[in-house]
Amino acid sequence: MKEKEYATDYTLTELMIVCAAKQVRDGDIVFIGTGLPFLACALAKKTHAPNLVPCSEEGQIDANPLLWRTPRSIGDLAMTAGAMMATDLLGVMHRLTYGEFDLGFISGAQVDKYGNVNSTVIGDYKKPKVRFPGSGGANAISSYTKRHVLIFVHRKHQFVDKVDYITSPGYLSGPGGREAAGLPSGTGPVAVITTLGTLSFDEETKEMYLDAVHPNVKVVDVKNNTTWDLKIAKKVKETEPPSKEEIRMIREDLDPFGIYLKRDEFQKKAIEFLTSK
Amino acid sequence: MMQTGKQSKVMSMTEAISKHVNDGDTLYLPWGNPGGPAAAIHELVRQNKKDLTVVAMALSGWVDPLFYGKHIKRLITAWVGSELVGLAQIFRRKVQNAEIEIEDYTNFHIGMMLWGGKANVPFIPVPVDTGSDILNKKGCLGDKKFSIVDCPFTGKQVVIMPTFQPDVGIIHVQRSDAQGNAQTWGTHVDFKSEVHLSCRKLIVTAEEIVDSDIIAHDPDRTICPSFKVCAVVEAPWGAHPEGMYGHYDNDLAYRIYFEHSTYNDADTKKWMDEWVYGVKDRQEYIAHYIERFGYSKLMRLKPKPYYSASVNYSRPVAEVF
Repeated sequence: MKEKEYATDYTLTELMIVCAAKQVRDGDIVFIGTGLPFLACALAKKTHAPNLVPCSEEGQIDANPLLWRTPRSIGDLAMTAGAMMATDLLGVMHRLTYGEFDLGFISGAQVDKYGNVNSTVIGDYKKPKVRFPGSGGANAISSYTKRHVLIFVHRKHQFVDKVDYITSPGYLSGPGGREAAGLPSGTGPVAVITTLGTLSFDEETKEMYLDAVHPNVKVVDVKNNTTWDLKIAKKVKETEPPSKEEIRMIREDLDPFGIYLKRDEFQKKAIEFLTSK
Repeated sequence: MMQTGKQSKVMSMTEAISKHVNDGDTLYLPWGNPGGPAAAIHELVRQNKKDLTVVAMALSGWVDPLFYGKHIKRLITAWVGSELVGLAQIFRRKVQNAEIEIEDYTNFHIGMMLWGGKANVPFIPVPVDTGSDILNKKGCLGDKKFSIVDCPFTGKQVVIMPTFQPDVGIIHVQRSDAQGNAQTWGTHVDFKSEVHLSCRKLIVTAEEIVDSDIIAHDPDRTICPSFKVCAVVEAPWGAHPEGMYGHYDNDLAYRIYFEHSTYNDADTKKWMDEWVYGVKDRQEYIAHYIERFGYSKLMRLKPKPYYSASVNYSRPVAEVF
C-alpha cells in the first residue's frame, strides 16, 4: 500500500472535517446536516465508508449528495434527484425514533461536560440575550441515533459548567441520566470534534475528556478554553494531519466554490455578483 | 368550512389573503426550503394581517419578512433560520426583544401534533424525553405544552402533546387545477405525511394552474383534495428566493443578499420598502428583480430538465367476460 502523504497546507475547518469523517463507519445510516457534517459524510463516503447511507431531515433517504453539486442545505433541490427515496420530515423522523439511525452530528452555542448542547437561547428563555434557530431536528437526533458526534468551536464561553438551555441531551446529569429521562439505552454522544482537538467520553463517569490535540495546540490551551476542570487522557494523542488526497477531495470535489469552506468570502462574492450589472 | 362543488376558486393573491386570512388566526406554514409560499407571505405583510399564531415545524429564511411589524403574535415551532446563509435576523431580534411569544418544540413534535390534528384526534403520544429543556422550559402554551401519563397498555410513562388544527394554511405547489387539487413532486419537507391537511382550510398558490384532466392522470402526486381548498392563486416564482422542482433553483445569492440587508432595523426597513411594500404583487416583484439585477440573473435560476420515466396506471376494461 502506498504510504500516506500528509498535507502541510490545510485549514482548521478542513482538519475538523477529516476528524469528523473518521467517526463514520462503513454501512452507517447517517443523518446528514448542512455544512461541516455534510462535508464530513461526503468525505467518508469517498474514502473508507462507501456504503454509508446519507439521509436528510427534509426527506431524502439514501441520497447521492454530490451528484450535482455541493448541496446548499439539506433542503437543496440537488439532494432529491439521485436519492433512492424522497419522503418528508416525519418520514425520516419516524425512522429515527424507530431506532434505525446509527450516526448524527450536532452543533451549537454551548456545551457542558456531559455533552448537553444548547442551540436555542443565551440568557432567559422568554427574553434571551441571543436567540438561535432552536432545536429543529437536533433534539431528536441526539436522543435517538445510536451515536452522535458534537462539532464545536472551542472557546471558554462555549464550553461551560451549565448550558443556558438543554436543546440536545448528552448524558444529562451523568451516568444513568439518559435512561432516567426515558431515552433509549446505549445511545449518546461519542466524541466532540473542536477547533483545538478531539474529546471522548469516559465510559464510567460519562464526562468528556481530552483525547487528542490538533497539531500545534497544547493541552493547556484546551484547558484554558474550557470553563470546568477538563479531564485529560493519560496519554493525550496528537491529531493525525489530513492526507494530501483528503485535502484535494475536500477542495476540489466536496466544496469547490467554498460555500462552506470560505463562507465569508463566498457570501461577499455572491452579493457582488448579484448587484453587479 | 368544507368547500364542495366544481366551481373555480382561482383568484388573485390579494383577494385570497384578504378573504381567507383573518387577524388573530392560527396559520400553518411549511418549512418551505424548497418551495415556501413566499409570495403569500409578502401579501400578508402588505395587508397588515395582525396577531397571527403561526404553527410550523421549521421555517426557513423566506418567512423572515413576516416577523417584521406585528403580524405574528405567537410562534409555535422548532426552528427558524436560514441554513448556511445565517440566522433569520428579523426573527432573532423579535424574540430577543420579547416582541413575540414563542413555544419551542422539536421538528418531530410539531410534525406529530399537526399529524394528530389531521387525523382529528385530541392529543398525540410521543416518546418520553424529560431531560432536555424542550419539555422543561415552557413558553406561551404554559401547562398546555404537554402532559405525562401512564400508557394504559404498557404501564410505562408517555408524553402526550396537544394536536393542532390551524384556521388556515398556505402552501405553494408546482401545479393545481382551478378547484384546488394540488400536486407536488420532490421532497417538500411537509407534504408526504400530509400535515398540512390538519388545517381547516388551505390557500393553494401554484406555479401553474392546469386542467383537472392532468391532475386525474397522475393522482399519486395530489397532496390535497379540492374540498380542503378555499382559494387557488396562480403565482409563478411564488417561492423565490427558495427553489421549486422543475421550475427554478434556489437563489443562494439573493438569500445571502437578503440576510445581509436585515442585520439592523434601518436596513431591514429599506429592504421591506423596496421588495414588499414597493411592489403590488409577485409579478411586480419579479419585474423589479429583473430591473434591479438584470434578466440574466433571473434566468440563471432556470434548471435543466431531469425527467422521470412515466408510469403505467393501467386502463381497465369494463367487461368481466
